[in-house]
Amino acid sequence: MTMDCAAAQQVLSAAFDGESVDSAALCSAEEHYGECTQCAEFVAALERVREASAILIPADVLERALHRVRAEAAEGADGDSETAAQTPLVDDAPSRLPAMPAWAGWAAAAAAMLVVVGIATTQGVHYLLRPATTTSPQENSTFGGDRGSEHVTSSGTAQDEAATESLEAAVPASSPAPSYVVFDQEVYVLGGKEAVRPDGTPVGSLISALDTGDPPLEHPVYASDSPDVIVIAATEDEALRFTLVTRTVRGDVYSLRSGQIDAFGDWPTLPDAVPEPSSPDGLPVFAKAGKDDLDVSIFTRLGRSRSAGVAVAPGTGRDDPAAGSTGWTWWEPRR
Amino acid sequence: MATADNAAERELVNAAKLGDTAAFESLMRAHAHRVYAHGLRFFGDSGAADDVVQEVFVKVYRSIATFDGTAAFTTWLYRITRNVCLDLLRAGKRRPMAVDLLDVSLQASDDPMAEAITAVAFESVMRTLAPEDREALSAVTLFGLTYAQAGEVLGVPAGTVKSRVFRARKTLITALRGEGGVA
Repeated sequence: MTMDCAAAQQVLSAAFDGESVDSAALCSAEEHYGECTQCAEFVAALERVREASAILIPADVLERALHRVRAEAAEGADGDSETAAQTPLVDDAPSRLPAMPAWAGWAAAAAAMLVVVGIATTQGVHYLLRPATTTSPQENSTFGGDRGSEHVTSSGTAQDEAATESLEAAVPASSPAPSYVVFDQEVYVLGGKEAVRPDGTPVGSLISALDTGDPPLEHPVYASDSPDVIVIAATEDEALRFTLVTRTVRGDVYSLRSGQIDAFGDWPTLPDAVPEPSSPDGLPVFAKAGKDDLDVSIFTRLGRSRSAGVAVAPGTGRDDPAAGSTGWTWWEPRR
Repeated sequence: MATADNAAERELVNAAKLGDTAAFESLMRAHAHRVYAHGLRFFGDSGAADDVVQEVFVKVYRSIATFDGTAAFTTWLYRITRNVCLDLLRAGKRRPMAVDLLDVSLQASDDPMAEAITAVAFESVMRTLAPEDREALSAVTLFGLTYAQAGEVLGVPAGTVKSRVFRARKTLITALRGEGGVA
């Protein structure tokens, strides 16, 4: 082993936080924990500790705090000049608010989306920072190559800002995702239009803005003759056909899983239960686990088997179902 | 946990500075859990955490006009939260509840880390951490600060933050595995 446990764990802990880590040290730490059960357990426990660290504020505590601010704002607006100067906010008196810039409403809406939709990753923010775009799967085939430099961490630090800036610079026009929707956590890609609106009983619904540029709407989902194809009623007289996005590993079919995809052109994100790794080689979340049937490297969660799902790093070739993805993608056995 | 410290949040902060109530409340709702968790772990008492959230909200409200954006909003918020806790402590209004690691009783399990870590056990072990380790972990894990940002607030070098965070994690992980003398 090239590094002792304490040194390896310290390096892995820093990498887990998205800190810049010397690549040689990270390499040594990776080599060490690959051979050391104790360190592998430590790495697996890091995520559990982070998950356990996050606690929700009780609703009544939050409301009491907001109520106190509102009360102070109202008091300030009623004549306390010192307080009023410091506290321009009055929640129940919009006419007393200073004039808002045009973007203020947008900012509030963006914030509401952050809170309501629960977008906490940089990829989620990435959606807020760019307009929805539309493309076809064929257009996507021109993308690919090494995108490791755009790797996004989830530690919420300066690295996020840098990554966001990187994404802002990289995303416009040149790299929209294919026309994806998510139904029951599985990702489907647009296959074409249906001449007639489907009839019968919907098997569920999905939420997407499609290519409209409007806020996402709920669309009924209908089954088709193929278990891998769904049809949605996009408008009164138009239906769209979508095909499940899959890959195979030793003959087993895996479907692409994602959090919510709001519009065509948005990339899949890792499901909530799967954290973003903090290094391009998947550490400390994923470990290499061989290759799929297209010779693409796959990774599994540390300490878990392939049956729990596999991850694929960004930068796959143009023939790959995840070609062009700017982030890690997550695949689980086809239901 | 990621902090949405980005252009959208900066716009939100700017809107709040200009008096946009919805923006201010959205901003605070988005970060309230961090403030609450820090207060809870500082004092080990939900009532004290309630006080901390109220005080922090009011202080942010009163001073957001002075926030110049040179630091990240979360760094600024962490500084305020930490100061509020220290002020409550100095004023004698709240006292941290002492917990000794040897007093912590965890449920027996063949593989406790692989099973759900109970909130009670986790919070109990968290309370046994050295205060400086706990606040470093809070800055990095809850508020998403970099080691350098946390070091600036805490008045220590980034390397010290790194050591404290690591030590805190080691203690948590070891204790929750049922090792290290935990009953």
